Amino acid sequence: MGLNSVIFLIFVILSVLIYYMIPKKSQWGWLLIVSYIYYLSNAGWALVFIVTTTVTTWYAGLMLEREQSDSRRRLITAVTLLLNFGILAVLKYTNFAVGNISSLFHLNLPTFKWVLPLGISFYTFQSMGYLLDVCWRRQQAEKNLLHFALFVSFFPQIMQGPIGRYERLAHQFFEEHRFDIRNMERGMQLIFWGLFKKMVLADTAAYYVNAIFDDPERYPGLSIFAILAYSIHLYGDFSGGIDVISGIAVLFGIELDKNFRQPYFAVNLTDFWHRWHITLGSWMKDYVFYPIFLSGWMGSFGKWCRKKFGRKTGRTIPIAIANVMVFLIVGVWHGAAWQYIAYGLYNGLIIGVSGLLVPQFRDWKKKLHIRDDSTRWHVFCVLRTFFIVNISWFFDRALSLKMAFVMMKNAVTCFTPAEILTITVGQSGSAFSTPVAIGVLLVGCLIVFAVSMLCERGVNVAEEIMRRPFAFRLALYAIMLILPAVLGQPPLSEGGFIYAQF
Amino acid sequence: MHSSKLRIALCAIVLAGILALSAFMSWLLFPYLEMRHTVHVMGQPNYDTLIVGTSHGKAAIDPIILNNDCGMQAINACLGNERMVDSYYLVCYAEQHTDLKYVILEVDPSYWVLPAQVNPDSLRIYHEIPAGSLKLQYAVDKLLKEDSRNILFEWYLYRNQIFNIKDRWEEKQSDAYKNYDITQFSNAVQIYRSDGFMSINRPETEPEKTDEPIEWNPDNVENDILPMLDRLQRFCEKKGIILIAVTTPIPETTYEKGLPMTADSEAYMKARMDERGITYFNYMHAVREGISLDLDDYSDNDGHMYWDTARDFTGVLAQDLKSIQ
Repeated sequence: MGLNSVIFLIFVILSVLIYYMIPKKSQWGWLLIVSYIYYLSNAGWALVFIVTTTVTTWYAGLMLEREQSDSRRRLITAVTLLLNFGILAVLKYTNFAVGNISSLFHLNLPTFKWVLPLGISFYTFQSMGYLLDVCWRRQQAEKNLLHFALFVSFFPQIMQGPIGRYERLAHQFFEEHRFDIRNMERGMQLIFWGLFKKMVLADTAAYYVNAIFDDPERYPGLSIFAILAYSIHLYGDFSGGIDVISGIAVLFGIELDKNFRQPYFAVNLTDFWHRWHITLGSWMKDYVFYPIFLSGWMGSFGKWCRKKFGRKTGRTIPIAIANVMVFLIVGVWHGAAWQYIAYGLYNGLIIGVSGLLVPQFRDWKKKLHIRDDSTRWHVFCVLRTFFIVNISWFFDRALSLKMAFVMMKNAVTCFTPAEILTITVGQSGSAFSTPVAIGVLLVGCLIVFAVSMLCERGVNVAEEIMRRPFAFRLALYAIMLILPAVLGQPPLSEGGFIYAQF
Repeated sequence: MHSSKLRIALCAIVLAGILALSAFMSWLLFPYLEMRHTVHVMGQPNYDTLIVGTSHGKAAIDPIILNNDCGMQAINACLGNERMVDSYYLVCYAEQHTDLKYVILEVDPSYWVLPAQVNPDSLRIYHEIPAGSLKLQYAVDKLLKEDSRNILFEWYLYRNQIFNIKDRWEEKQSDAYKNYDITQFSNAVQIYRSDGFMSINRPETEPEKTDEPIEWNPDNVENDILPMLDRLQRFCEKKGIILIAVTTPIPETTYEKGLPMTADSEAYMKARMDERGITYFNYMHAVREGISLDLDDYSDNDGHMYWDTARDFTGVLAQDLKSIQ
């Protein structure tokens, strides 16, 4: 059931209708039922994996609550983490490992043709976050298995997140929710906005992205265009999908964590990761960065660094190393291929080195009389960060690490924009000519930019719209309903959304 | 409360208005194509054989020859991009309107591994089936898992016709449209006949054929094909219709270039039909009098026959069909 499919639309409508018709005490039970129906219809036999994660994590949580001995608590946590991350690792990375071993030792080892269970990356991280919270006594264990099962399987977020926290979601699931017309309107706003970003922006840009990235030797002069198109494609697809998911959750009266906050307005790469896939970043911070940084061996290493390099630098080196390790994991999370490892290392190294160079940056700015609150400096930082992020997108999208470097080289050595005219956007009957397609992208980006600018200035755009007269809102929603049909393109990827494959 | 109810009612009216306008646009912008005529002809109760399948079947199986040689009154409802689900619903539609005795299902292995795409071509049959319970079932089977725009805003798949909206409007008002005239479907390259057969003319000079046929791979057989074949078989059994599967010949050069996968596709098809007890005539690489495997007798490498090649081939098919009558 893709998010944009007819059957999903019917499924959501019926789920919401019944949700508000049944006794309020049963609402969470209904959510659990529809979540499992959704999972079964999409993943079939793979249900066994989500059930395994749910049961083992829940049970481990109960054992942790009863267990007083620290060493036994660590053992329970370690075994559960190993089991669940092990399942993820085996399913996601076995073929990568086998392929590399075959390549290294000139063997022809067989690979496995299996499909990743729906949402395994997301629900594994979400569950393990809960487990660690219980282990560290930040969270009480959930006594009710079915309550916990809903947390793991809540259907709007199972496909592509956001990665939720138990403390913020649980009480919402089990509260009673009354039908609220404002929630319906807010939910629909998010859904329409998400579909606009996905179907108009992302799916149009996808034609350029796929044509150029899948055959870079044919379009060497379009690398720059390809990466800009990818920055639109990825943002529109991922954030659009998240908006649709969040909108559906709001229809049930549930607020999911925000996952995007105008990421292309970031002033540096650290800021970017506080705005892009926010829940992944914060998960990594809480469950990977801090445990590494606060660990005994890192503490000893930090002492040695302070002795060797002085107090300031010595304090920053462990942070830099922890960041590199975190982003290495982020890269690996994105996929089982060397270019994703490069993607993670690229981000980690820039953030790590930037942290080390803070005193130098401060000196240079002082010498050049640059003020942090200057508009020109702010714009420069935003553009610089956009440039740095776009380089990382080469690793994210190129077919291989080698191709990523080839395309980066082409971006600075070759520029033939006229080749764009040879790429068809769309399928017969609904295809756009290049000027129209680029016009759609530009206008769409301007709209998204304008809304993002307002959000960046603290304007709650959704609330502002809801203050407008009813007729205005009705007209606006009617336009947004038909825009994906008037200007959108059929999706190129099966399943519809990029992150649905995670 | 009263205001809320009024607002909800207004929203419902606006939504209904949008959907109604969308349905009108879908009707208006969809061009008049040969399938409209074919479905119209299928609605008349004067045939007992329906030929369904892909463009290979469209060009290869000549209903006039079938009628002359084995007495089958046939309509050729094959279409390029026709999927098994489309064939199934064409058979259901035909059965509602005539006393159907035979279904000749032309099966092309390359279509079985081609991912289903929802575009104007793939909607040609769906669009022409009249509204009703059959079309609703058809929508459930064909479009339920697809993008919701394909049902709610079908016109979006052929929205470029908006630039020809005047032509589309005039076409819908024309006698040709209302009377199902087929003159416009014929040209120098091909002649469309009223029985649905597409007769491909031989050009004066044989052109160079540059198309690349789709490669067969049994791992890529689309998930919906075999279940739909099973449904078609059950439907035919229930209604007392004899189902016959046929794979039409392809040029020898195409067959050999595709080895070993072309041979594999033959074995695969035979196994699937034998499992189901479906009578299957495989002519893909048949060396028989009356069947030409010479590339010069085909309009492309893929295997679309010229009219005379089709005439001769259908003669051979008719003889084989006689054996099961």
